[in-house]
Amino acid sequence: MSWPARAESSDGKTSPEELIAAAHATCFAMAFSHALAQAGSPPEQLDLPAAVTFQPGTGITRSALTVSGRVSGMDDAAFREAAEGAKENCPVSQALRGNVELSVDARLQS
Amino acid sequence: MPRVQRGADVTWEGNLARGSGKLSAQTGAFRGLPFSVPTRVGQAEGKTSPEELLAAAHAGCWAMSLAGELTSAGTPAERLTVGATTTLDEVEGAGHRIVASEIRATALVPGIDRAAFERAVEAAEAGCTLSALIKASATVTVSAELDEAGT
Repeated sequence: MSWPARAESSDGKTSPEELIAAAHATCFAMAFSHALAQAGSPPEQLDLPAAVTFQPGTGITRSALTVSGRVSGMDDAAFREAAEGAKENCPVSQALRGNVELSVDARLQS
Repeated sequence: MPRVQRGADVTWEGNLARGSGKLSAQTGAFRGLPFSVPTRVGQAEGKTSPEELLAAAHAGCWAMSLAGELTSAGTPAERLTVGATTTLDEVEGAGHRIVASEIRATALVPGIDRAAFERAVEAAEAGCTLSALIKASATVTVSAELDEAGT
């Protein structure tokens, strides 16, 4: 880890922002899987990349979650609703909220 | 300075109790790290978790913040060792929440006195973006020591 790698080109080094993206994506994956299970439709496979925006001088301003995946017996609206709920409730979202803009883009694959 | 974007990729397979995920950093710094619910809330068994990753982010941010303050004060650190521990707890009526993050730091800083070190630690805590984020919903505690044996 280093400041140039954090604020400029990463050069294969991690940074607090990448680790927050990692923390948020893993937390969201589990919360979303839980939400799907509660809706009676456990997922087969989910892809959940997350991106965090860091403004030097200001701090972390945004964490954007994304999820796409296959879930049998669920429609797109229910999939999106479950994703919104998981985004609101996962502990890392709760820790970031207030200071960081949180969003989720959910796409059900057929 | 222009804004920076950093990301991570996760894949998840299966239900919550028996399913598991894999985590990769988009920089390539780590790849295919396993995680699961049982190892998040029980014995870790060498697997990572959101809380560990948050602790890693906090420790990294805090170390860079202190390094920056010590350099600005004209007394750059020779070595900083920073650990962070975050706590996930069940909060009544609110489910699981991250309730605390604890920073422990040891610093080897040639030519600094205790008062100047304490000022640098305070400034580092005030300037660490992760501390500010976590403080909005959880407690942040800091204990920092000067490694005087090494000077």
